[in-house]
Amino acid sequence: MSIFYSAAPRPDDESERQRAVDHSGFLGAGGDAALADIVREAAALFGTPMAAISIVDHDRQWFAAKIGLDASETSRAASFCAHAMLGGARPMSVPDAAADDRFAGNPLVLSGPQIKFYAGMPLLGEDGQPLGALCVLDHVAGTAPSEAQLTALAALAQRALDRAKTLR
Amino acid sequence: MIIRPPAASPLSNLLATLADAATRLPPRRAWALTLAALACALVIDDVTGPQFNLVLAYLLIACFASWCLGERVGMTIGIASVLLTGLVNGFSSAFPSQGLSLPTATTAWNTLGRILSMGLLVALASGLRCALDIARWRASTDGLTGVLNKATFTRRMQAVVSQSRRRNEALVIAYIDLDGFKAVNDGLGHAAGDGLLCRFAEAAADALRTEDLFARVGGDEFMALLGVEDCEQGDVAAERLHARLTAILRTEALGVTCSTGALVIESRGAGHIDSLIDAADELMYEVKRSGKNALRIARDDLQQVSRLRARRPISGPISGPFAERAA
Repeated sequence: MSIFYSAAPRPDDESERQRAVDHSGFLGAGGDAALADIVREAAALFGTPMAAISIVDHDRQWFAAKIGLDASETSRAASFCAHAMLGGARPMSVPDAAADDRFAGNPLVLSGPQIKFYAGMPLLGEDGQPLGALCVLDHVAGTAPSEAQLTALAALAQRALDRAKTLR
Repeated sequence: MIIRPPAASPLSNLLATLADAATRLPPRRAWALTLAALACALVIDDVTGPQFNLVLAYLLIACFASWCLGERVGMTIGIASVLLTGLVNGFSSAFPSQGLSLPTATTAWNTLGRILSMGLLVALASGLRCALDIARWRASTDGLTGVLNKATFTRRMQAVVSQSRRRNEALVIAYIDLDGFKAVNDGLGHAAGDGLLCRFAEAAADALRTEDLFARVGGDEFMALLGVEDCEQGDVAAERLHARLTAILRTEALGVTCSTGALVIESRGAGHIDSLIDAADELMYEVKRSGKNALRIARDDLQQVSRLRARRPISGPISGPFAERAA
């Protein structure tokens, strides 16, 4: 059996979600210093070399801000954040991607950033539509994040949403 | 009881071989052949004089034109050949060397007879061609939905793989199985189930590009073959396909979803067609086993990497396609 991965399903109301993304302010926020600060703080909070604000836009995920990642976007199919954003207000954590059926064969695990550890907090628009996620990533597997870490990550995600609003 | 096909005679086999070769001629070449043969026949007819009968040659040329280029062209060529022979050898002078000449009414009857027999054979040729085309269409498509059947899909897949290999591109082989289809059949009847399959197949085929292949390979199982630039685009195409199919089923509002297994592969490394289909099928079953209504993708180009890494853990600087692209 080949090693495989799962692409996240698209929400039933994908066209409305996309509209929320288009009006979120994130898509024009590339290079914003405040968002860059937020991902830096998120990476420091978890002690990971990589963090990003990933916006799921049509067929791709685009990084409005990132640290430790080379690419500025990847396919939506390979996106961890496209999974994470579907969890409502709950964060998603993947302690070891290589041991998780949904991610083991993911191209971002097998090549490129070689993600092993992932934790992401959904970024929800004003109408509750998932836009993407604020995530932290590591090349090595980790343990499930603590409640305190996740609460702090949620606060950073809210700061990112507030910042994007001012950039509309 | 198994109903076997009628046996073919040696002569009909020969004819079928010739007809098949003619079917595959490009129209431009068929036109050139028809006109050249007609010119040759006329020259020979002129040289040999009216005693030497070339009607068989003209009939063959008109039937060939009808077979390859359609009934209208065949008719035109046939009638033109009757009239041109008349011009070359004269309509009425059957035996001019003996000074014999036929009455006008007889000449008209003979010419009309020639035109009508020509027309009859031309119509026969185009009718056979039409019957062959219909038989081929029936044999290549699925009787219920009208999309390709498995045998034709597999055959055409070979050509698509070869073309993709020449261009050094990648392929997505997707195996799709409908979830909850049996409940529609059992609850609403087979007519409702058949209707759903037809609408799904049509909408799915419409969502693909003309160069992609889409087939019904079993009761509620379908396959798609998509050509893509590279494997990364293959991920995108597979995700988009599954999302599109899911959306089509959602509009039906019958609670039917789909489980999709997609193999993304560099065409130069593609193995045997059957093993590719098996791999996609296996991925689809993996979705079925783990809850249905989802998409599993296997990136064949990265399998080697994962096997290598399983033996010797790699650490250090980031490398690979994403790192290169980011610069």
